Amino acid sequence: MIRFVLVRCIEGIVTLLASSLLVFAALFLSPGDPIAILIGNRSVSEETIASLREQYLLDEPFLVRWVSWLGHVLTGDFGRSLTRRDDVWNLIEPRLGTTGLLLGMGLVAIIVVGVGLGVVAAMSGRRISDVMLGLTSVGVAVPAFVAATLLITVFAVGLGWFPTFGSGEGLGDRLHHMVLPVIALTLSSGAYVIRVTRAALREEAQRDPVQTAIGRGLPRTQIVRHHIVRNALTPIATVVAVTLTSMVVGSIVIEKAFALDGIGLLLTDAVLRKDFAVVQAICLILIAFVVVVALIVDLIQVMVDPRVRAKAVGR
Amino acid sequence: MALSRPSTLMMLGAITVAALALTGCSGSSDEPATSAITDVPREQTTTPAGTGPIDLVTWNLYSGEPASLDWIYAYADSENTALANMCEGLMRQNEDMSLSPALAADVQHPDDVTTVFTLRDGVTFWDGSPLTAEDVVYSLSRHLDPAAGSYWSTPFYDRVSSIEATGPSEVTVRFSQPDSLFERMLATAAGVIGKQSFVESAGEAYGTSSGGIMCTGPFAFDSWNSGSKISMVANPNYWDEEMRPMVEKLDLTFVTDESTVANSLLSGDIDGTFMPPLAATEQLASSAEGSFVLGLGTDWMAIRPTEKAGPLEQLELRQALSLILDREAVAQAVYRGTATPAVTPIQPGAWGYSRELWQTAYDELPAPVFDVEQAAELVQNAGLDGTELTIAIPADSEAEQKIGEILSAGGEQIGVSITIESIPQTSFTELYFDEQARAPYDAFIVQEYGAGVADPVVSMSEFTPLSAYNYGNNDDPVLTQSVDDALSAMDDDARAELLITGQQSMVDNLPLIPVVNLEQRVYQNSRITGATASLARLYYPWAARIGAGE
Repeated sequence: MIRFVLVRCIEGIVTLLASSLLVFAALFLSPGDPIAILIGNRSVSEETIASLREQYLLDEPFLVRWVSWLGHVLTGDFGRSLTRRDDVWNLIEPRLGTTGLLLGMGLVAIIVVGVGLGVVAAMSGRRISDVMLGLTSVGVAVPAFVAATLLITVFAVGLGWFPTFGSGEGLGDRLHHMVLPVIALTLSSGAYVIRVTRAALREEAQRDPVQTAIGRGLPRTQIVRHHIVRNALTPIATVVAVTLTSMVVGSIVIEKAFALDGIGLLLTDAVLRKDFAVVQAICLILIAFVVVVALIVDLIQVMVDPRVRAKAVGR
Repeated sequence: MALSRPSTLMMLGAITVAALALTGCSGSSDEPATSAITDVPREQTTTPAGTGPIDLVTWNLYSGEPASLDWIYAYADSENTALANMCEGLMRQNEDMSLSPALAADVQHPDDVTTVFTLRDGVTFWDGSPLTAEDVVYSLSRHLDPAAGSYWSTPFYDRVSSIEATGPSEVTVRFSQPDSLFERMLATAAGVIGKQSFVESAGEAYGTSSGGIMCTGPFAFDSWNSGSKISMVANPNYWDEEMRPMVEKLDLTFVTDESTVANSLLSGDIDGTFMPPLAATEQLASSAEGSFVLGLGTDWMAIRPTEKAGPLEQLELRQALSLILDREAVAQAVYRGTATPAVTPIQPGAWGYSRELWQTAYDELPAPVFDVEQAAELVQNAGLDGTELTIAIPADSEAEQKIGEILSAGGEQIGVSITIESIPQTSFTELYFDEQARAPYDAFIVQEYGAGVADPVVSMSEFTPLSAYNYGNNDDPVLTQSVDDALSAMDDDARAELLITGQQSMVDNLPLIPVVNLEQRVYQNSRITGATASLARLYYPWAARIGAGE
């Protein structure tokens, strides 16, 4: 088991390294010179441009820049933002809370509402189940930015129940500000979770052991708890994890639409301005997050599913 | 995944989606506006002053979060609009774009290359410490230090040879040659006076969200929540008693998503903004919840030839391009009535002095002509039939896209094949300073504002060999002479006369092909009134007169 975790951790670190190299390369190859964005349409002396290029290693070869950046990151230094003239960590730190709250509330919504409704759909009669399935197909089809526009138009501008943008101050206000963004963020993926949960539970219910248990006349709650839900936990945990990682991407769109001061908005802005250090740092954080989520899901699988455990220990 | 569901459900779903789409997607259509706005106040410099105190005003910076509040890096819209209420210089560009002393009580010119500023008595920084001549010398001298990398040093400090304190409250600036523009630039971020000891102790953090700033303006910096807002509070000790703020706290937000800005204005979460989204113009202009005003500006939209050798070097082709531009359609459909067709980039907002002279000259300029037949004839006679042109525009910008469409459609009618290349904003910015980047294009469509100051010499110089921005290698002796003389002409009327001659030459020779001149759009909800309407808001404390509406 420890060996399994170790191997997965090393895999995660390799993933982080490889993806940071990819992100670095993508930025390097993308059109536009960072200096151009920095100085815009104004004339700056040649000396100034040269000193800026030197300061930010812009004339160094690609690998030198990447290695230098990596070395600094290992010492906890994410570098300095080219356009904002501030330490990257100073920019990221205050924003982590907003993105964390958005994703955290999204995760709760996915588990409570998504999985909950999935269970209800699986257990209820055909008619209700079909209605729910129909609604989820609408939900799945609505992109986050469309949902955001609709929610703002109806509930913020029309009814005035929620603020149109921003993330608020103080816990109550922050939660209030997050309601619409969380709905917009989870509408589509939540609908998907409902569908997968329902399908997984139904599949488990069709299995022989369950049929046998029913035949033996075991109580319904016991069958559901011990046979169906336990066995369906692996696919459900997987879909929740996949959904969570897709929400990381979705949160970038949502943060822009609701002008939330999260790292997603910072990332969009930094990409536009080719602010290497900021883009790198945020990508690294997001990828690390995904790697950790994947690791947790693997652990859950190993713990709940004896079949997976056998494989994991066996290798 | 096979789905089984009754067909009625499918229909229900489809209807819901359609209904949601309909309610949500008004305003962002591609259709030109059918009714451009007509009855909004135009050519304003200010809006009716506020009637009383108000606790909190939330104002949006449409172009996003400032990168820095350090004045030497404050060149773009957001930076200046934020800084304008907090920091000021020796001079002030007023709401009507005229110039008057601010932190200077008096300005003397002992000779053409010496200017002596006497500081105003009793001015203090927000921390209560007095403004000194040393602070002034230090602040202005930062532009002269190449290591600091000021965005304003070239060309605005090019003629400065020394800046010295010549008395306890006297600063003398000497020039290598007379500089008629310098005092005007002191009213911009190029002239901001900060507190020396504060800047020095903050070091690299000065002007960042953590380091803050220290100035003398009507609002004091309070906090900067990175990503969320910049807050400032009224400075009760502001030296200009008439401009002590009625607003207790001013929050600047950075929402850039156009539909979110429009929605927040309509819901009242944002009290006001400059340049509200064009797509929401009609909605905001007719809203009973707020007021929409058009103010004086200096912005212009034009086609600028690059140095690429080719057909655009021929006047006939530039004239033909000018003739196929339906400028009225651009002003109405693209800018929804908030821009005016133009033959010169110099619009009334740029007339910061000698307004009568500028007005007379403006009245004598030809009206823009839209005449495709005449254009075709020009092209035929000059043997330019079959000419191919490539024009760059920034991607994701509706206005440039539409102008590009109008151009290529018109080009087809006159036998000129015009390719419009839409390139990402980041690469587009490179066109402004990288000759290599411009090499593939005959021209690019620009929106500029001549540094936002009301002296036409700034933008006119860009079309002479005197400027680093003379992309088209334009070399018109009449224009060059007028600009060169004007840069040294200390008398306002004389300077205006010189530039008016240059302007006429620009209209005749088309070193750029002006399309429209943009007006400043301002929206405030009914809670408040008093914001500056003109482009002076880049450097003038535009929130100082805001107060409760009605």
